Amino acid sequence: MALAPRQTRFLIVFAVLLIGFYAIITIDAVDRRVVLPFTAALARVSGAALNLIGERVHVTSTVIGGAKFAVDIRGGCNGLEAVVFVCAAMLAFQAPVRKRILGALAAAVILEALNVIRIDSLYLLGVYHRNVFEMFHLAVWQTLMFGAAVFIFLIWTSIVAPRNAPAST
Amino acid sequence: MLLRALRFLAGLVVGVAIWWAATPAYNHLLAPATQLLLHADRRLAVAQLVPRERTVFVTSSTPMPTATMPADQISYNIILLLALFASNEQAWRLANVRALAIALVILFASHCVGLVISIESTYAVRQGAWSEQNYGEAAANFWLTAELVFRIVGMFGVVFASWWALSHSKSVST
Repeated sequence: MALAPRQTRFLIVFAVLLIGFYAIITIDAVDRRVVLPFTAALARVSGAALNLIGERVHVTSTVIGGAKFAVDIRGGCNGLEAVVFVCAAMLAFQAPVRKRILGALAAAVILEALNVIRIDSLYLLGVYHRNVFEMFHLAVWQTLMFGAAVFIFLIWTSIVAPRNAPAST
Repeated sequence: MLLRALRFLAGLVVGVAIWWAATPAYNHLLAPATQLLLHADRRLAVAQLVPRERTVFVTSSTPMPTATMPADQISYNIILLLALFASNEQAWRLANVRALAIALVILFASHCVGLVISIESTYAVRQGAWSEQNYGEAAANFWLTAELVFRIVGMFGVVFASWWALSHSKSVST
């Protein structure tokens, strides 16, 4: 079960970047000036999508509220953890720097779009099927978000380094 | 890649079912193993971990306060692990199953560490006067940070690294 030196290096750099990026987004100033406004914007987009499909919700800061239910989008639910995860993986992978940055940006956009679906589906579950809300909130959607992050990474590696792509081994 | 995604989704469904059904029994393994680790900290050396359905109850015969730990929130990354191994080509071949077995052992060890971190964080930060008497500010910050790192990215990082390493090691890929 020996790993090639390049894969060992990838895992070490991935772990260092993952913790480093996570440390950055938890700095108080970054949280106040970047993460919180971003999460509030995410709440507005998610709220607008819910209003489009006929749910009458209002958004206050990071809270989406309706007549029967409300969700507060907090750290861990704004998708940044999955974005940080895939960015760490892409930046740790040996590929041209430009492709790493483009890949990370594209992954961030896709994951946040998926996160809007997560937030809206959780709101709808809270309104209509509250008995399964916790299972979906904790287990299903977290797994789907990180699973999506892994799949985006695999697709990206098959594009930037077809011969070394993990999907092909 | 589409087939791989479908296998991943099938693994996710199976993973959710296993996690949901097996967590109470799994906690009977997790609690005693974690208790051994926890006793390395003399502040919590008298703690007894009692599995209770989806949680682990922390108690003792001393005035140490009790706590209920939501252990299922530490172990649900098994769903991602099962889904990722299910997404591998020929998921039922021996090499993949063996790699999954090794990954499950790694995951179990990480769950023990994760539960220790959660208990330490709870007793360092959320037990009022007891916390202040037994933990300094630096220790409290350390355990709180460790818990956040583990819960938000660490538990999935362990899964991804285990899957990556074991799915791409020479004995599996050849």
